[in-house]
Amino acid sequence: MFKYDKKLPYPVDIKKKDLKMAKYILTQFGGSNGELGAALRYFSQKFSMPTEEGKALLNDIATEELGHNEMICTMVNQLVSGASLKELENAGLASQYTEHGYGIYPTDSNGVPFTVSYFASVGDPIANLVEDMAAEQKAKVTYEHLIDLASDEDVIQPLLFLRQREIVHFNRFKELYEKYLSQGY
Amino acid sequence: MLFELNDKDVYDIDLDYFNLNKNDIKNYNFINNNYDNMYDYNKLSSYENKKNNIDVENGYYLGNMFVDSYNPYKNYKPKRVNAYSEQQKMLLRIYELDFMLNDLNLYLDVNPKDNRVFEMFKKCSKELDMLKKKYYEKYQVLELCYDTKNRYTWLDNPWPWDGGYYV
Repeated sequence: MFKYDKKLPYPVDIKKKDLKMAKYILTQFGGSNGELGAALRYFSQKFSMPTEEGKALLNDIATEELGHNEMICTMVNQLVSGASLKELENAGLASQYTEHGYGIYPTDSNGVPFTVSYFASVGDPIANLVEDMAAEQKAKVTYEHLIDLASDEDVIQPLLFLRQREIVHFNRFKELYEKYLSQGY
Repeated sequence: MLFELNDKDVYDIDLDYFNLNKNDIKNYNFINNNYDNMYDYNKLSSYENKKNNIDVENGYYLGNMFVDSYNPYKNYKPKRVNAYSEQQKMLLRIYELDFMLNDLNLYLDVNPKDNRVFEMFKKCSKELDMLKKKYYEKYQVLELCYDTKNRYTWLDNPWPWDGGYYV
């Protein structure tokens, strides 16, 4: 089961409205390389991990990713806070407003809704872990694109933190992958 | 008294726990607020705890406790988070310790026999536990099961996405 901690993994306190940035960052919630896909990917794959190490790692990273989802949604929420309809329109968010108002909904930056076809779970630890490593690399690159686009330190710092987590997760998956290879999986 | 820590000790306890060099710590402990400078990751090599390859003070801000695998992006440098009030300082310390626990947890999942890291994990866990209980008693409950005082407070603002208060 899961228990909720009433806090974020890393503080998010964005004071400056930036609708374009909100639109870009939203993809790390509902996009193909986003945190929602990551959480569901590892959560689904943990059931077919063959050893204690694998069960624990997939379970614990999936859990951490859920916290990252909350961070991303918090960033988007704060970035659009207090925006007028005119401002939403100018930022290309009018269609988003039509469907979701000021609510948060998992789509990518282009408004394409989240789909579980962004990830796989094939019941084989090696195949799954190779996907997981690739997923962490792609998420890392996406964070780099977002950091390139950002100008506000309040936005950049949480993005740097989240980018670094992708690197750590990649390293852990790689360790497990190499362990499994040597064990003949 | 359920909680053995007094106010003064809350920010000092980590020194003993992690056997850090006290002079190093003085420059960036949680009482001082000299966090304005960008964090300089080149300074890592001078830290006492480098021998563990785990950076207890800066790992949180790097997003990675294992400094050898820290990977910077371009010239961007992680900054320390500002905390002003005692409440914010305590909360930030909870953030830091919770992060450390999580990062050591992932490492131990794959390297369960690394006793050096497991010892750090236990110390971190103990300090976090004490600090959380103290914080919940004094300020705000962050875990439902601790909401056992006079009034039901779990639903109280702020929630994490409200910003501002959350340092």
